[in-house]
Amino acid sequence: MSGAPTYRHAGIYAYRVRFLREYAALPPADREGEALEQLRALWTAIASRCS
Amino acid sequence: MTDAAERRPVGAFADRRCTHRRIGDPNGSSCTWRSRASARAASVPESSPLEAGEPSSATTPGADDREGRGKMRSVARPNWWFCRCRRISMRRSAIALQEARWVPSIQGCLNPGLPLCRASSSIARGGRARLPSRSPRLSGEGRHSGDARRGGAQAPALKKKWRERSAQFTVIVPARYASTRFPGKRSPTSPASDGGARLRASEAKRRRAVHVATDDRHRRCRAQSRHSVVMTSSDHASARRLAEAAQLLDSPMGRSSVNVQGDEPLIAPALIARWRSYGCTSRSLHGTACHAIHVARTAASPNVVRWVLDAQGYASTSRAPRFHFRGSVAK
Repeated sequence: MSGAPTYRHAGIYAYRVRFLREYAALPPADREGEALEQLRALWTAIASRCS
Repeated sequence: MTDAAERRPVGAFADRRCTHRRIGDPNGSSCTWRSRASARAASVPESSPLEAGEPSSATTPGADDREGRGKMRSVARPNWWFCRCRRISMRRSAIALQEARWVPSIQGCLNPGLPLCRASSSIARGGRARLPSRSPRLSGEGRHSGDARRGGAQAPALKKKWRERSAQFTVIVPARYASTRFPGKRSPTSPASDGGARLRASEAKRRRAVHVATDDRHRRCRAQSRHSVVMTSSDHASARRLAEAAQLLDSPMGRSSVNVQGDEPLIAPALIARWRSYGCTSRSLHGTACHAIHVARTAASPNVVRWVLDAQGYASTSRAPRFHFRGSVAK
């Protein structure tokens, strides 16, 4: 691939158990149209980094 | 009779998944390409294809007939299909083994005395999100693990405790029956995908159990003989199912839970094991593994979930091809 720094998802996630409990209680993110639940985590993370 | 058929007892492959190859083979026991071809050549003049389709009809017609029919009905796809899938998956997992690395998605505080992720709870309340990059300094207990690293009265003890705890993890494979995209899709524990044997074997070597979180009773029955099964509610999304499974398994808070997706049962075990060292050192609350894409077709497929890493090494994801570089040509 020419210069595209893209990575393929390897089908595995890790959660801290404690985080998992809070994460499961999160409302769906605005951008979850792609049926990617991890966007919820990212939305949280991005929102957290932007603020 | 071919050489192979003479050497092997008739019906020796009754428990194998190669029933379809018996079609055209009156002996019903040869499985290699060579012997199959020669058996077909031998069978053409003496038997019709319909009769030849009945496996092992030469020896004990009644019993083997029933067995053969049952087998034929249960085999949904030919063997080469499974072989191919497995080969592709093995190849991919081999790549994953070499190249894949864990990347953080969210980082935060791991201290048991403080709320782990202030961001998530404040977002849930509708407030402004902020992850604690550093927890407030407290004297004595309730210190941040980062503080512990730098020193302090309880630093070594805390550090050891956290090292121990964060090194532990539970492997959970969600096997959801009511799947949105593929309703009733093959379970990761089904024989089609080697029954999760590779995963189980590698984890057993490291004295970890593989837990299957499922919502289907049939699936539970099937998986129960080989895996530890956790029954969860069927109206959960993935994370909720995991959370419920973790709760049912009574996982301690500091522990991590590694979620192996159901369509990746042949994932490189070393990658899972690598979480141990990564999880020890990193402060990520939620991590994922990824490897570089080398094939243009893969890069363009909407079925492939991609990650893009930002300058700080954080991952963000999409199904869409990312970042068109002007002047670059996809090979």
